[in-house]
Amino acid sequence: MNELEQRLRSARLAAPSADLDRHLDEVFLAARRKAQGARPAAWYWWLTAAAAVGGMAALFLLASHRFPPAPDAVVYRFEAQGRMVQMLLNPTARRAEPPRFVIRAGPP
Amino acid sequence: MNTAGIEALRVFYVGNRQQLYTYAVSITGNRESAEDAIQGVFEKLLRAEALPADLRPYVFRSVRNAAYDAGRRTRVRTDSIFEAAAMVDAAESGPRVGFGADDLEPLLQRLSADEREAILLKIHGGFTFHEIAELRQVPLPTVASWYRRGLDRMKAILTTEC
Repeated sequence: MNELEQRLRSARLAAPSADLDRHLDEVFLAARRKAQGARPAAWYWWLTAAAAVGGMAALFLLASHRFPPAPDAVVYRFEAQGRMVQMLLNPTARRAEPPRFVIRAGPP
Repeated sequence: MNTAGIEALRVFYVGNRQQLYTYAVSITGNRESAEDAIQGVFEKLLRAEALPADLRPYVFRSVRNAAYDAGRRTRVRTDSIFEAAAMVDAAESGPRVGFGADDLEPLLQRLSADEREAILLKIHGGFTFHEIAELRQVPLPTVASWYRRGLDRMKAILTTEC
C-alpha cells in the first residue's frame, strides 16, 4: 500500500449526524412494533384450513346421521250419529254449546 | 418483513453507517442530501417483504442510486467526506508533513466519478475489487483500472503541484 492509500485510509471522515441515527432508530422501532402486531400470513392460512376441515366434518356428520323414522299414523273411522252429525253439519250450534267428548277404549 | 429481518437490517446499518454516509456524501456533495438518501433507502427496505440474500452490495447500490437522485436535486454541493480541518496523525502532534485530509478532498474532486468511487469503496468501504465490480455491475478489470488510474492521477497532481 502506498503513502497516498495510507493517507486516505487514515483521514478522519465526517460522521453521519445524530439526527439520522435517531430517526433510523425510530424507523426500526416502528417497523418492529408493526411486525410484532401483525399476524404472519401463514397464521391466516392455518385458520382458513382449520375452518374448512371443521365445516366439512360437520357436513359429513349431518349427512351420515340417521333420523328415527316417523311413526305410522293410526286412523280410526267412526260413523257420525245423533249429536255428532249435528255438530259437524251445523258449526254455529257447536260454538254455542261445545260438545263434550267421552272416549272409552275397551281391551284390545 | 419479520422481526428477524428488521433486526438484521438494523445491525447492518450500525455496522455500515459510516461507509454508507461517506459513499453518499461523495456522490451528493451535500451531507443533508446524503442522509436523506440513506434514510429513504432503509425506509424502503423495511417496507419490503424480505431482505435480499446479499445485503451489502444491494444496500450500497441502492444508496448510490438514491444519492445520485438526491444529488440531481441538490444545488449546494460543497460538503467534504472528510472531517473539516482534520489533519491526519503526525499533524495532530507535530508539524504538518506532506498532505492532510483537507488536501485530499480537492484531489479526489479532480478525479472522474468512477475513479473516485472505486477508491472510496476500496479504501473506506472495505470492498474488494470483485465486490465493487458486482456493485457497479462492470467487469473486475474495469474497477481495478479505475482504482489504479485514480491513484496515479492523484499522485501526479501532488507531484506537479506540491
